[in-house]
Amino acid sequence: MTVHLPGDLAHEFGAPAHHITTAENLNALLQELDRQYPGMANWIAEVNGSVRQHLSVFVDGRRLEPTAALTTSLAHAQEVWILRAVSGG
Amino acid sequence: MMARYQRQMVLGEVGQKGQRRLLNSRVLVVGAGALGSAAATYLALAGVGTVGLVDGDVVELSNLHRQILHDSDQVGVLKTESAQRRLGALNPDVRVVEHPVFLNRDNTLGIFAPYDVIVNGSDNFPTRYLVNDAAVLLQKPLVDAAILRFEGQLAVFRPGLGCYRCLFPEPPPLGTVPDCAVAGILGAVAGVMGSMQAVETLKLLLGLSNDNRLRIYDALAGTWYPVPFMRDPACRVCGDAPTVSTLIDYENFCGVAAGLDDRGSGVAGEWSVTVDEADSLLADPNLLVIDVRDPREYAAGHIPGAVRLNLEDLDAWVSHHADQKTLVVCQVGIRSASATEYLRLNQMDAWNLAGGTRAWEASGRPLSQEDAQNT
Repeated sequence: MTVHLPGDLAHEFGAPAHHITTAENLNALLQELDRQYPGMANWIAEVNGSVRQHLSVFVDGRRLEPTAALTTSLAHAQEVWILRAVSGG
Repeated sequence: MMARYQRQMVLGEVGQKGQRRLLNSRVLVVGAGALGSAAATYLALAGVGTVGLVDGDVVELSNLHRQILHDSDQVGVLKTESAQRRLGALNPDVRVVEHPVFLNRDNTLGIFAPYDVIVNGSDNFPTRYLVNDAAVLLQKPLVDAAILRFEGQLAVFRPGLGCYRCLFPEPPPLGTVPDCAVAGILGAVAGVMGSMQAVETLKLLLGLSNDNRLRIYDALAGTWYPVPFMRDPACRVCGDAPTVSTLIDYENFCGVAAGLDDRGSGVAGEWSVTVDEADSLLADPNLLVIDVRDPREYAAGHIPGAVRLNLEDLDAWVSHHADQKTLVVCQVGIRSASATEYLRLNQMDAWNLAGGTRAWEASGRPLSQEDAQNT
């Protein structure tokens, strides 16, 4: 599956914006990202495990509920987008 | 009159019938800034009969690298007035309607009502949510875009098929998303995104638009990524049981009314300080500045006296510096925000520098390339 990160997050951590992974759920994905880019998981999820309020996670076009996000299976997902709104105009 | 549009009418999807439809259409552009400039320009050139512009701002010199409706002679002039002059010169067929005001809960529905399509080029979250909710309540299609640094987001929201809140139900906490003044914007990116708003608006007016995708433009990679999305049945505005049936106080909804100022990027908004606020912290001789960037970034320029610390070494560092008052720094305030939050969770007196060394340097303060050291 391909995981797409917000551009400024990827830039700040020196990570590619698009990440290939076989993580089975979002929690495993965050652990994987954090191993490669220390601190990134904390940027994406709260300490209590919920996705941060200002982020939206879309799995194959469907938005995950923040409270369910970390335990939701990604086993059959093709595309995961971690999005954050920007406001510049 | 139609000769102006001959090259456009050659397109089978447009033709004389489509061109007449454009000439009879009314489009409102919210914001005569970077996005609005590009969008309104192409809409006027295409012969959209009425182009409305909403903006209460005046033209500033710092606008001119990206806001192509305005020029140096217009500095200090209302943006709607400057835009009206330019658009009128570009295409006198078009009626340009000026709305030289800032949108709010009281005036928005009335301003939107006469228009067929709303184009959102606003530059702040309260207005983005206000524009979205008004478009949903009035059942008007909304062509939304936003920009930051080298990235653009574009979405077309058609009535009944999802809205901005289906993508982003809650506004980000104040200070967690930087604006263009802090993070910067490449002017041409705004031109791309505003032009795309014009394309999508023309498609809507011509009946050529039929997909539900957020499109993300990565200017550095030179790529577009489509992100399909669906209407969220739980959406508070366009869902199955909407709870928002009238416009609300969007400043309050987005936290602006709480009196907080923009703390820049990061997750530790409440512990973030601006560069000016950092001065008082730095006056404390017991304060330690730690820089969590990599050695190459640190060597290129760091706050004088800052010591470098790898993020992965933070845990070990905490165990030996439990009482250390700390200001955490990185390039723009994202990595340092994560580190600050971690230190705070460990009961440390830690602060994040919003905007990082980039904001520090932009304020005219010096960066050092000497005394490079690690903890």
